[in-house]
Amino acid sequence: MIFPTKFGYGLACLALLMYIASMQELSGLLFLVLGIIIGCYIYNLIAAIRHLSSLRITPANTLTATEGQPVRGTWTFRNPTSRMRGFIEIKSTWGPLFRVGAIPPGECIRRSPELTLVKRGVYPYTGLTVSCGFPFGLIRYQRPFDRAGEILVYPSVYHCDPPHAGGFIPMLGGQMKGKYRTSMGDQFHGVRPMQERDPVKLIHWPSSSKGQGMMVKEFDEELSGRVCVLVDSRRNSTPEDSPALDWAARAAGSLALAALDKGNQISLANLGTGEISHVSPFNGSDIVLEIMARMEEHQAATVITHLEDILAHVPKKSSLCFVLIGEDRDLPGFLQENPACAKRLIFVYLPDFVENTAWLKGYPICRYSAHQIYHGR
Amino acid sequence: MKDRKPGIEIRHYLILLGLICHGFVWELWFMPLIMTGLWMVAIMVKRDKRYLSQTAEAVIFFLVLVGGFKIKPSSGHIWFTALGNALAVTQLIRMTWPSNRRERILSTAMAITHVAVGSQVVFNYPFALILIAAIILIPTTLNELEVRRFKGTYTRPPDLINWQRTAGVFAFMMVFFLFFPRWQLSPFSGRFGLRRRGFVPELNSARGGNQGTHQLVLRIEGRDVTYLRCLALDTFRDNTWRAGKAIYQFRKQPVSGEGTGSVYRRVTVAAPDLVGSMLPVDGQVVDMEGFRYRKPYPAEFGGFILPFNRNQPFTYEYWTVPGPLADDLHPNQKERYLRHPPFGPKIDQWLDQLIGHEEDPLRRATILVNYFLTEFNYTIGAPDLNRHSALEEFLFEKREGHCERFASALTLLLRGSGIPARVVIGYVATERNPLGGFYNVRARHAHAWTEAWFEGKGWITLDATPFGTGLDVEYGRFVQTFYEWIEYVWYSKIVDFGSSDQIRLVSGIGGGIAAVVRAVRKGWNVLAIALGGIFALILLRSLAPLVKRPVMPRKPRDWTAQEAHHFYGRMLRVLARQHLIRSPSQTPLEFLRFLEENGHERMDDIRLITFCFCDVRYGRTDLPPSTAQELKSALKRIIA
Repeated sequence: MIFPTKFGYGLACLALLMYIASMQELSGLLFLVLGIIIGCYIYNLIAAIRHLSSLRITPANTLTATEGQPVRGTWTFRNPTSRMRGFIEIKSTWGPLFRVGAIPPGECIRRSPELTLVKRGVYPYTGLTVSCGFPFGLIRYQRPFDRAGEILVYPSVYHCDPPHAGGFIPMLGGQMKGKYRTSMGDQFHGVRPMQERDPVKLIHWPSSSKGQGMMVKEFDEELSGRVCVLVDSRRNSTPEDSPALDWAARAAGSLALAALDKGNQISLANLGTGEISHVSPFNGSDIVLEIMARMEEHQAATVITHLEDILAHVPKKSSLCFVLIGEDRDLPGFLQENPACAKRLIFVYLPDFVENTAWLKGYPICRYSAHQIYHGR
Repeated sequence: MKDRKPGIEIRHYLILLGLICHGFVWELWFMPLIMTGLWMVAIMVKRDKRYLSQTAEAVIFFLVLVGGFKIKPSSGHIWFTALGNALAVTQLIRMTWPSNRRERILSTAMAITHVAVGSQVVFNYPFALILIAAIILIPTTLNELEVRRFKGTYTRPPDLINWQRTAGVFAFMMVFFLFFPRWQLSPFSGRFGLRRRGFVPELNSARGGNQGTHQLVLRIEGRDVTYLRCLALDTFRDNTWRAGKAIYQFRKQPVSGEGTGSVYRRVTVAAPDLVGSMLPVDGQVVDMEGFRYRKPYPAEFGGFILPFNRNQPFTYEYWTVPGPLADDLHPNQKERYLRHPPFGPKIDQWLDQLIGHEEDPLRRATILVNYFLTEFNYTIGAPDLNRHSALEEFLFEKREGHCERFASALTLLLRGSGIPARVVIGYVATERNPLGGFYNVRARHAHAWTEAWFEGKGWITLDATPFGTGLDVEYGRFVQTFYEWIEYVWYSKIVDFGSSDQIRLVSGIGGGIAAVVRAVRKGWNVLAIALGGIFALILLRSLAPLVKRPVMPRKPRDWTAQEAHHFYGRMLRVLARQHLIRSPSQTPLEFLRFLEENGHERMDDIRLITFCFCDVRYGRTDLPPSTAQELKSALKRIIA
């Protein structure tokens, strides 16, 4: 699509006035001045089409960002020609994505988007347009730029206390200290006399050299707990008229990352769809954030629709952290009656705009707002 | 950090060009200089921020606009001057503070408007210098505006002045100028009614004549142009020839258009007051163009007469069949063209002796013309003749005079011999410019001659004035010839380039294409050779990439990153000496933003080094030798 810019329209009006004036005058010199302006338009059109046609743009499959932060990642712009190319703009429905001033001939540059997205979610590369107005900015040549790929905006997580974990198991790297000793780990406990089948590498040579016999090292048992964070993805709004799921995603993400930092294994479950993801402490935080970013609202009336199925797939002893976005009076009854919930640590996180908590009698309640989790009823 | 003033932009030079053009509108030689001085003052007193509100600016604009109507330039152009003054003052004021994008765009438009207005005031070919500057500055200014939109995204900003781009704009400009349709809506500027000054339609054969001036009257394009007819005088009384009413009567023209044997003439009248309402033409005119309203009409004598006068130089073109006017004479006309006062016995006797034996009228006329050419002398400023016997005195005593006497005498003698004749006044084209192929017709080329009518031949031109060996074509000195050619090309091919020129150009191109097609049809072997040559060239060009060039060994990746690090580190050390220290927590781009907020003389160089470093270090691009050289130069500039 070819269209004049605002400046182009203005200059065209001036050129039209000059053409009308030329009909009143006898001098052909005005046509020369008018010809310069027309020549600029024609040159602009041809150059813009050539620039855009010859440029090679390779988008990244996925760009990531955090709410309110600039988008991370780069796209590649390659100029295979022998002349400078540039003045390229890529725009999306959410704002300008890229502005590339100049790409030297035969070179390749990488650019990060000039975009800050304030809302978490998935932004696919649809509806993108690439345009060029080289060199005068009078006429812009634009064409659609649809590619496979997306921008993933993570929720902006924050620091919070880690949730209580349950079902501790010995795991190297776990941050909970067990009452037993093991032959491997990070926390050195002491030495003991070497026994049969102890590997040679465990020998503690400084103490063995004292003549008391061969001594081997002992380590504290490292335990790792298990936490299951269940996110209520029903449709609801906050007092600021934003989706309550955004708050819940931030809170759930913060809890999950805090649990991972403690060396716990976590399971993330979507109460609206029944999907579960298991994340071990050695995985990066990106998986958690990606799950939170992709979470969408659902029209479910209650959170217990898929709860039984979820509980069947999470470790039996893991603690349950319900991150709710509103009341659900069916939940306490389900938790009491379901044998899978017996002997589990259960915590409920409610947004602070839900004032009534009497229906959750007997369960520890924490509050969360847009950017923090705090304790209190 | 010390406050720094922004530099001069290309747009400022365009503003200067516009101000100079506006100075020309005043038609005072020193105004362009004053405008240039004001521009320089505005550059020198630049401030860092705007100091006038928009309201104050608008008030100043209107005050200057109104004031412009009070201070009128000598020649008029009142609207041009008043509005141009207001725009010029606005431009100068806005130059003294940093402009935002909207202000830059408006000032560019104002400068272009000034240049356009200047094109209507500065007709002379010095406007070519303004045009050359406009071709360079207008595209460059537009490019600069667009470059500024992408500020901060460059590794290396593109060059502002690009000759290839300028050449491209120039080419499109010429195509537009030559081929875009033109229309003219303005009526003629002139007063209604036949003029009496300039070419006075009477001729006193008894009076002595004066040498005309060197003033250029008109230029005429064409070949073999000789006698340019303005008016015919058919009535003789009291030694004076006058044009009777019948001369001005409408003449029935042959079918218009380019008839067989017609040639093209194009006339540019430089001194309309000397031409008056009688358009100089030669031959038998079959068509005339160049007049949209109130066209001239063909008169009885074969000339063309405008119904009103023109005050401005103008151009017209016509097609004519060289040779005599092939008219048939009505008996009334014949009687009118035979009228003459009775001759004395001396003249009768002399005439009978000279041509009495000759039956053929044309032969008789030839004898008379040769007699004058051989026996008489041409002089300017001869004393007046006796008004009672002017012809006798001229024929037998003085035997010298200027063209009017010869024409008058020959016409009377031809009438006395029974040959219808009349005196014709006009110009004779003898001064030719070989470079442009046109004739300069000056005031001194004014001439009078005789036209005589012969049965079956029409009106034949007879010139009894002895010019020596005849009408010799004059050639000026080369410098003068070249200068006049430049002037001619400027006015006729550029200033006055009109729709008829366009039509001729298109026809010429069409004719050229047709000629090529005919040649191709006749010469297939020539075409085959030409096509073969073109194909060979294309083949060679496409095979060129297959020829391997020696590949320069690439630097290892680490080395490239180190090199970029080296430049960036050096730059940081230099800036630290200038008390611009980057904190460890600042990323390179954050530090760059900090410097932009605080301002630095060499921001462009700093930006170049920073972006190069980021691209190489984090973007994994290479550092070509050319870029490394640029980084070195940028670093030197920062250090300096």
